[in-house]
Amino acid sequence: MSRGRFAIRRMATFPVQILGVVTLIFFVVHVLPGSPVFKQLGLFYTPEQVDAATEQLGLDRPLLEQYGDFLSDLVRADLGTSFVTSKPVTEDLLDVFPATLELAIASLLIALVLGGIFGIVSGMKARGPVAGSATAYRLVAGAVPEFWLGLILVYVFVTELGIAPGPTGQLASDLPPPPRVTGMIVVDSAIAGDWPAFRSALAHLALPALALGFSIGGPIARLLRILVADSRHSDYAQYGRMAGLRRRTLVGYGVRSAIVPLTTLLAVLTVIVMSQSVAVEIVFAWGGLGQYTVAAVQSSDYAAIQGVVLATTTFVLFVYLVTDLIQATLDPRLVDARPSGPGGAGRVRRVLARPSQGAGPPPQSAAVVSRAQESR
Amino acid sequence: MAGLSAGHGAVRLTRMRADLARTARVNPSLVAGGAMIGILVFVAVFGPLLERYPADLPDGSASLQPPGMEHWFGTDTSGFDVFSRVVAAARVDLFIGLAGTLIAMTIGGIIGIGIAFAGGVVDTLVSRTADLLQSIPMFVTALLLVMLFGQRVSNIIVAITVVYLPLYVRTFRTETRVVMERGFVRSARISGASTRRIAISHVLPTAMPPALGLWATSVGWAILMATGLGFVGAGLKPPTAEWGSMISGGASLVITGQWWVALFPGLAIVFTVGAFTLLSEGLEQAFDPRARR
Repeated sequence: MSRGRFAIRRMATFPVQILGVVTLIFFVVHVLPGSPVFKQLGLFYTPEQVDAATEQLGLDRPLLEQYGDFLSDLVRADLGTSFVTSKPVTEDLLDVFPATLELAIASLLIALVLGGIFGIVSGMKARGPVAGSATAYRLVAGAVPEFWLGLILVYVFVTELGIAPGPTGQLASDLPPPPRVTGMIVVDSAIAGDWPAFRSALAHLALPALALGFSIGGPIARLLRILVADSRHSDYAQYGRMAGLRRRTLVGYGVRSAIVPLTTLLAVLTVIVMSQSVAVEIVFAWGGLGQYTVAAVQSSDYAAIQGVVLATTTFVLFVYLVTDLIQATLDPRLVDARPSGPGGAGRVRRVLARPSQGAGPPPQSAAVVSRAQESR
Repeated sequence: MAGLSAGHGAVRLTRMRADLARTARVNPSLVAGGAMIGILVFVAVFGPLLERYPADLPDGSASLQPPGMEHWFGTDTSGFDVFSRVVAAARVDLFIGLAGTLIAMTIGGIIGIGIAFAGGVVDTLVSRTADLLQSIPMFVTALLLVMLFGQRVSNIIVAITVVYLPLYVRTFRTETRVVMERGFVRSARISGASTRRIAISHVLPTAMPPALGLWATSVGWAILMATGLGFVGAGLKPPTAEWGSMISGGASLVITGQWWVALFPGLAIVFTVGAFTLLSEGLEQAFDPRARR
């Protein structure tokens, strides 16, 4: 299969996946107990009121008809109205999503730096104090609750040292927010050239991103350690050493062969960040999707909940799509062997879960190994 | 006769000690993780004896005392003894983590092995549904389920089961597919063994080790998730002692300098999740000695 055909086929699965999610959400919401009718009526109601509310919400019509309406609303990007904010859910989501995206990007960058350093260093040398500290990092990173780490960071940097702004959202309250372009305040203030706002936004971003990035960096360190060690013991590396290549050159090859599995891992970590940022957003009053989700769930705001699940899942599937397309460009061998769909996620979850994944015969590229495991 | 058996016992004891020492040298993660989990189980079982104050009865006259001889981990705003509650919460959080993941592994194992044997449409359909479920952020799913059904221990366990089910279905399915192609399963089939017999006595034992490694890790994840739910106010509510909701109670105190209310339950989580991570790495290595690095 050519790369172009792969791209087209892969992109064609995207709407199918979205339809699957939409259908799943619709039926789950309609099958589960605790109908929105009772949430709307409160504690006291008569049977007539129940009937009236059921009719008003359109819940008395055949399920398939409701499903059809739901789909046609979705096509027009109409997710209903949140009864907490009394604004269209679509509008709410567009308001809060950039804040979460900004936090996610910043924490993934921090995770790449932390995980990259610890992973490569411990992959190069299996013993010694450096490798020991890398092991300690991986262990703590995997075990620490990010919201708690956020609180500890607040205590150290805000309460004790006083060098970071308090956990009060994305920007100092006395600064006017920059004109909205992307919705990400750091980016917007840079675009507007508003440097005081830019500095304040960066300072507000630092602690939550560090809390998330620290814990997300663990799996990156684990994967890189395995991949770098694999490539160090591989035939080509041994030949390179014999031929007198410099150590730096060989490390470069090792890192390059790690890029494809690393992009898959980053895709999965994006999903994990979407989960973990919820509690971190609460700590820092971040005002993003996470806080919106908790508020929606706590007030049984059905339209908002449906919107949140749809939006996050669509985002996740989109990230998988982009990852697959990037990987097809990086490593054309994947085009033929790769089943389409979010199967990639299942594969890297195993790397996450199983520390020794990738052991065994030294691979030229770990992607070949994981592909072999997927197809067997 | 008696002397002989006593000598025998001593030899066996020495050998056991030697075995343990050898294992500790070869597989330190397994021993360290096992020992830490031993401590946790001890704390969970003998908790009531360790709690120095009632865990669910506050002493209003002793609010926000710093850690000291009276209250080892200090007290919180309502005058709860933080140490006693950290100990009492071990029971709750461990139970949730263990029960949720064990149920998920059992059901996931049955489904995963089942669809691998069934193949065809059933396999594709279930696998694709599992994929879709996995692309919904786990915490959002769990949050939703617990709030829909009510904030009780049983419902948190259900949420954890649902969230981790797809992971186990996938693992067992993949492992089963691999085993089914191996020679000994083929020869068993040729010799006329029934599908049930192949599944139970050939596939299950071979698929189990990787699943156990995954299980140990997912206990840690499940505890992180349960405490995360407690933290955002969607888990167990006070006065039930639960690490997440305890941290939530200490969150606003961090700014005013009373760090101890949030610190100690968090350390307990790090210890617990770390223990299961070590166990998982140790199990991995024990099952697959090639993986040793």
